[in-house]
Amino acid sequence: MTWMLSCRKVAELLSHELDEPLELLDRLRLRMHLSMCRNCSNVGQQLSDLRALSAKLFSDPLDDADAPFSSPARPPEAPDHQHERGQPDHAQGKREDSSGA
Amino acid sequence: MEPTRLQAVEAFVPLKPMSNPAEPPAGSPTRELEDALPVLRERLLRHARFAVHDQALAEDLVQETLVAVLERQAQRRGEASLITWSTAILKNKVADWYRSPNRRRMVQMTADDATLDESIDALYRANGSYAEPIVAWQQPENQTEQSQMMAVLERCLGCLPRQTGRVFMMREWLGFDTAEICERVGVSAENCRTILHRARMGLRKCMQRDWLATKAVQ
Repeated sequence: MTWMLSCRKVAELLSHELDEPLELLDRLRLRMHLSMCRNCSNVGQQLSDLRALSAKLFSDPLDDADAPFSSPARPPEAPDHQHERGQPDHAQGKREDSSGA
Repeated sequence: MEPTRLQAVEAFVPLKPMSNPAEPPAGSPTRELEDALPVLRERLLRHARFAVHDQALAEDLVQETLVAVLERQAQRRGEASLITWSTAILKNKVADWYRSPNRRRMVQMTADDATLDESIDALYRANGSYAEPIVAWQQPENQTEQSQMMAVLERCLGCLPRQTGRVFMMREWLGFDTAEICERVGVSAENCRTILHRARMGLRKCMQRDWLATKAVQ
């Protein structure tokens, strides 16, 4: 068994790690490879970006234009009336709140 | 010609706006919702198609969703936009469909899947290293670019092979864990892992090409 993983194997582990925790040895070998390989750390970043971007796309699809979809249904009844937002389970994308105030 | 009785009555109330008592008045939440329905339907349909890759099924699920939207609109919270709220309802409908016991779908590897495999293989040299340097994505700099990037992703999702797209949506949208995906589509854990990996690498590659191109023309 070798400590050196190929970039192809690293990509598989990066994807796998988004779904389940890796075994310790795989995790160590992965981290070691990433610390030395720019290509693979870029791929890792891109896979995380894909997840965050998907979460945003799926929870709030394309709020480009069309006022009826981006405006609130009605103003909140009372100022202290704070509801939890019903976010999908693993929406990791940071929501950008443009409403300000 | 003699005016009919109705015309005669109307003649006395010309200044009042005509309104059909069966229809909610303009500006009411119900009326606004009804006006927004056709566009909302289109948006949900696009979404549902990615999730199930089946036009008739997508239409059924969206129809059910719209009924629920109309029935439950009183429960809608002020701060959730209509599309966000409706999408959450659609998500439950799709998850219920995947979980319904009498539904059973087998994953079939199609010719498309083979093409995707080949395009992923082409990334690597024989020793498993990248044949060409992987360029980092430029992050979107503002809201407009963020929306553009999401639009690129949506287009790329549309290019995934059917089952690959479904499995990706089950994982990333419905939030199913891999064990549940294996059970619902009837594949081994190993296969499920491969399909998800293939989906991500396919999307990555498509984004790499299209998002960089989009950024380049700005």
